[in-house]
Amino acid sequence: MSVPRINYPKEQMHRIRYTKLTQEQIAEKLVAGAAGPHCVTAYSEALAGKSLRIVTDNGPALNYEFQSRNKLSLAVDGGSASHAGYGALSLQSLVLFSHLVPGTQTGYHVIVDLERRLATVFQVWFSGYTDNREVQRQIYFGYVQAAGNEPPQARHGLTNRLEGKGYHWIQDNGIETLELYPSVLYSNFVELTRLGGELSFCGPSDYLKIDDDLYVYSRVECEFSGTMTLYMLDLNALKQVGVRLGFDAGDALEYYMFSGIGTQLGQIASFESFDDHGEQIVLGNRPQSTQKGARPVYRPLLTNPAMTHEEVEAAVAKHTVAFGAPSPMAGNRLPSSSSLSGKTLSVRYDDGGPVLEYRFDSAQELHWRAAGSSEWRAESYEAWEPAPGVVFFGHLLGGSPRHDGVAVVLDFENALSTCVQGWLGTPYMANEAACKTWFGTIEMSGLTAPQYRRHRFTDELVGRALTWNYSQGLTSMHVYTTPYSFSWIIFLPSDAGGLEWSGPAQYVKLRDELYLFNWLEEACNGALGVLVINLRTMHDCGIGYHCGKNGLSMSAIGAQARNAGSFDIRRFYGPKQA
Amino acid sequence: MKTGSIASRRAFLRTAGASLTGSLAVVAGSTARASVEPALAEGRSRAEAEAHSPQTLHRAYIEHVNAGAFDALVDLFAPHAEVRFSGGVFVGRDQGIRRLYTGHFRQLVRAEPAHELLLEHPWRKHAVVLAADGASAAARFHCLVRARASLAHDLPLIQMARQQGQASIEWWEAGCFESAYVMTSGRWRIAELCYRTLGTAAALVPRARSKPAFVPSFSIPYPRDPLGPDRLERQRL
Repeated sequence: MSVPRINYPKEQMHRIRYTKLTQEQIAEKLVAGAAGPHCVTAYSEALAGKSLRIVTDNGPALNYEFQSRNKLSLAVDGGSASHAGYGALSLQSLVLFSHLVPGTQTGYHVIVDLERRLATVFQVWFSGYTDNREVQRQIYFGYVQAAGNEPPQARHGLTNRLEGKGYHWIQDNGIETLELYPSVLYSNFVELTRLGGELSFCGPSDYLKIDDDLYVYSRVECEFSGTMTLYMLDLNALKQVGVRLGFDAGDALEYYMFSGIGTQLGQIASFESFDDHGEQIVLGNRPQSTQKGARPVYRPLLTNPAMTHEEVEAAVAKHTVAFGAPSPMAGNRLPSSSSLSGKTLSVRYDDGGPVLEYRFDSAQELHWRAAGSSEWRAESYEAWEPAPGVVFFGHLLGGSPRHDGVAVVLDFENALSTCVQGWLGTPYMANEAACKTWFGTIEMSGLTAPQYRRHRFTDELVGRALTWNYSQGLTSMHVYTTPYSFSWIIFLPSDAGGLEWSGPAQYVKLRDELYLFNWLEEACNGALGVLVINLRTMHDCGIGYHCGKNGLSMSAIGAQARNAGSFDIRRFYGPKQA
Repeated sequence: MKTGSIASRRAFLRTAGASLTGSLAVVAGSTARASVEPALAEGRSRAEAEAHSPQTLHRAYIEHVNAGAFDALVDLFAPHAEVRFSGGVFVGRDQGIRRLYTGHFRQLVRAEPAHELLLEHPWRKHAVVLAADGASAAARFHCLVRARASLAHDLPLIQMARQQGQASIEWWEAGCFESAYVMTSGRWRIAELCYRTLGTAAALVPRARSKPAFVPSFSIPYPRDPLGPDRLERQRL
């Protein structure tokens, strides 16, 4: 028996309880980094023996003396010199070098543009946020001072020219990732080797333009390990050189540089005006913080603190509602369907799944009971017809100890039914929904159900990007990133991609271009969403199931879609072969 | 055009005039001249009279709303004035009206950056109706409103949008203030203030969004809602 090619982690990133390292622990661990980053590839000697004075706009002046290819000294703003180990890698005319400042929790990743005498400095530091391990960064644009020469006027700068691109990267150390840039504030990464490529994750990111070929990208894994990854990339040569700095899940220092080769996976749409090249990121009416290193970061558990089991029970008892007040998430929903009114039927799911009997009293009220039970229960429901012959409805399963709810597809043309059953409570959070997808059949007068055919899981949507307009002023973009997860992006006022987050997801094919899609907002607000997506009408209908401090709710979702393109990524997710 | 603040699309409803007494004289077109005539008759200078007309009072109201100067705004009302706002009736300058402006508007509207902006500019002729004794008046002031309403839900999508300065819906609408005024101690004061939407402003502000957002009306009166109205309107427009 061969050794598994992928060491799947015991927990995916959003489930790992990363240690809250103290400043003292971090200082102790950084001692090992004073010698400079590790690298599989031999370091560049481009800077060895040179002196550079880097002058930044509104930032420090850095005087570097590079004694060798791995030793330097740095004096900041004319202060005394610090001596450190460093590493440098070249990409065309650019050199990226990285070092820590011994005795501090600060370091520098510097991009030097030798042809244009420009420099961009990422000053990085630990212990700058509540979670000390999260790398903070401040970007300074500047130039390399040369005696007798006027300072260059040009600068590297922010850009939206990477927005929409996606790459598969293979680093010199064997690490493989898929990295998608659907936003100017965030990016999406799938760790194929570290985490097995099951789920995608997001992190706040920087995108800088050097010239039309060369760019700089960085991200910090905020809300996870806090690790920073930064690299320069050459769009034509499809090469990268970069640096990674942070603490892994075992709290060991990760500080290494890498080079890599890439494959472009596609280019999805961007939605800014054609004259907008992304030199600035303008938020809406929320003033941007001027604090050093500040940037918009979505911190879901800060916004949605986890509830205890007792708090959940109290909230559910206080307020439980199905299809109550209209939600902005349903401003563009399909019209409700009354087609079930007056019908009696059963759904029978395979593999020990539930068997539910229904009497639909009206377009909003039904009675259900589990097969074998004598007790009928009344529930409110709402139904839609996302495609001819297909009805989608949902309701709470009153009386269930986990406060279950179901979202049910009735495919009358094929006598098939698929059900997403949700409930409250996971081993991680009491108010977090979990779910199970059941495949089965409809039993009713006039229908004969198939013996073998079922709706089935699919990866047909994986790689696609769709925008969803829920109501006026509320639009997001979904990127279906892996067969088991997806990401959503909120647009900035310029219609550039803004904040982004990810969650586990499942995809079921109902018919050609008709899908049942569900996602869980795990380690977030705990919601379960279930949608039927019709790619022919580019419209969906769906159900949200959520418990928060205000109670338990099941509510309608509905939005209109636009095609935003796709990434060629499905080929990365099949079972691996040695 | 100026910008300022107001909470919702359904600002001030119903018509004015119920509190007026005596015979009325309709003045349209030359409203400024007509409304200052009582003051002129008292021997004031034209400049002084115009500084104390219903028009200038309405202008002051708009400027105070736009500037968020709610304490000063409350002083523009007569002691027993009423404001009809978003399905509620706020009674008394120092009770309900102060609660509306310094409570609801300041705390719930101004405190949330996503709620903003009333923009006023006359685009049709105003009309002022003066009582024969010059002690009261009714007026209609047309305006163009840029309204913005927050999406108040705690859905992650909306949380994220709020964090990047969004999660609000902005639109333009044509509106009309229909207000009543009384002369108190030689100065005009607002006796009743109502606003109604005349429709979308699509023709007036090309390419702007003009579809209103849904903004819930008041449904719980004071004191059960500490910032609620004294009573709910029976008929909501």
